[in-house]
Amino acid sequence: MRTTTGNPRTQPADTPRWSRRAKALGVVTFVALALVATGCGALMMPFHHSMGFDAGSRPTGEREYGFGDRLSKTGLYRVRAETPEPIRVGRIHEMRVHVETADGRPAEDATLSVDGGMPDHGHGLPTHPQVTAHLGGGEYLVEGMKYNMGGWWVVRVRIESASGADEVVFNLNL
Amino acid sequence: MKKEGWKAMLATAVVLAVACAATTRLDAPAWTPGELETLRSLRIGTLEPLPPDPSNRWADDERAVALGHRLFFDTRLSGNGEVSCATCHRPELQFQDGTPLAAGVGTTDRRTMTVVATAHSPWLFWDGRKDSQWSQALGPLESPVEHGGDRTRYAHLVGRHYRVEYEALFGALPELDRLPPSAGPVPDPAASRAWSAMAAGDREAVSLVYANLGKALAAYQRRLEFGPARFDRYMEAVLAGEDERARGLLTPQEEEGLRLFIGKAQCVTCHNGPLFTDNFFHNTGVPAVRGLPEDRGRALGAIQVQEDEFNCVGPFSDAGPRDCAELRFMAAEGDELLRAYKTPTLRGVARRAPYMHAGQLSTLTDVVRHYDRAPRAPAGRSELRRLRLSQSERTALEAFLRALDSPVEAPPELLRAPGEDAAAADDGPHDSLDQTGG
Repeated sequence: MRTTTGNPRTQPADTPRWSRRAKALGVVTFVALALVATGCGALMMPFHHSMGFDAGSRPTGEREYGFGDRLSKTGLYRVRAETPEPIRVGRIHEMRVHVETADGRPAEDATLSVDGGMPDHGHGLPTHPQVTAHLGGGEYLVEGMKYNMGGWWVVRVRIESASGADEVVFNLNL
Repeated sequence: MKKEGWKAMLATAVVLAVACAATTRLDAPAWTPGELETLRSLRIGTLEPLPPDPSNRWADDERAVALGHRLFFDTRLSGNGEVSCATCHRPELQFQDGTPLAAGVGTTDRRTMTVVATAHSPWLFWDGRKDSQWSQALGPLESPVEHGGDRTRYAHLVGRHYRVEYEALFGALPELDRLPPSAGPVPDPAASRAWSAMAAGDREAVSLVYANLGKALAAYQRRLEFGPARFDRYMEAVLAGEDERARGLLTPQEEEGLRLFIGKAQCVTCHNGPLFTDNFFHNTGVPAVRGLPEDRGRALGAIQVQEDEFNCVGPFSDAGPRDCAELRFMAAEGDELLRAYKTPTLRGVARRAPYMHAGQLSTLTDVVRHYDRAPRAPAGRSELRRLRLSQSERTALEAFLRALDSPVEAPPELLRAPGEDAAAADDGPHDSLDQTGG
């Protein structure tokens, strides 16, 4: 036998059960929209010319800054870099990158790529540096380096050679 | 009220006022070491000496400066004989024109920028579509709405009025008699047809004359720099430990504005260095102007500078193979270039309203409010974030911007038309209080 109690279609529109549903739907919709809104807001971080890699956290010790000798991430290479003059913010310049294999031999015939940026600001380098010469003895000339403001910069050098692919990240405090 | 009552009130008021002023001064917080480091980098004294321009052999030649000076003010360098560079780059207005869009033979789609201190910037124009001052000068000369002329017309002009000066610098002019009076790669159909009909060698020769005109104009404009502002004198005093003198140079409100500039308001992110610009391109959500064509900013400018025949690696440049690093290694792609515009210098900014690339913001108050509100960009993605400044913070920030009151610095004769009497014109550092663009 059919019963009519509990069937929403036979209930008048203004019963507590309908309005509870309507309210619940309203709340859910509102919360969903709010989540979407904040989700979108969270995604709208400063995101110009993204660095494209995770630089880790800002180094705490003075010695962690600079282009001095660093071991690459998985230990395949030892890398250091130098610039002909002290780095000046806003001035485009070249740098020489020295790459050795882990056992101390110069890494000849490596392919290098350089990128970087400011992790705190979420942007990359203002230029597109390139390796323009293999100088021999594991030394590579990189042109087009530039930093357009002071602060914490990271420079990533990716290396690929017969010994394998790896990368090293330098931290600068300009 | 009785006389004694008034006196007592007055005395109390005076005492309170003095005490208030005294405590305000005494309470002015000192700068932290981190802040001082940033402040040091903003001083005009840290500006590098004028960089050489390898693409312009005559950049520092005094004769080129003199020729460029005359050309800059010569209204015959236009289609209608009425527009010179100085028509929009007016010396008495810090070499700009104080209007949202520029008025040459027609009207431009963008705001005239000051040319002062642009020798320190690798990119010229709001979108950086030129990479040297000399190639920049050639843009307006053939623009149908600015000078409305063409390079062959200008070559004839040089032959008639500047032959001696030109040939002393650049060598012999080409044979001009057999060239059409008007011809160039310009929208005007007659001039364009005449240009196509010219022999390649003639076109090259005329283009070379054109490039040389740009180089002379650049040699002149290189001499236009910014001088110290009240901010710089304040910094001198601060760094010398002369707090008393420093307090006399920036008011507490201006100091507060400076603190916000390098702190909460984050202006120094882009407005950094001694010229308060990183010479780079940023989308700051500036609104589009109804009725103007779509403006993509650096996204298009990056393509144009690479294709420009007068760029650093082009046939008319004097640069060598190891030069032109800015062009060769430029960031030319990426979404962040869309509606990104060059950070303008803030030196003298209070005198150069209206603001932004089509003069969209009329006053500094509007500018500060824009950065505070951080509206969405019409295209691309704005780098701004809401600042949530209070009214008093916004006022303080604006007050500081006014303290960046750098005058234009140059040999006085270069700040007026050649041959113009000193008494007839405003000289740089002694400019009358020009309220235009307040």
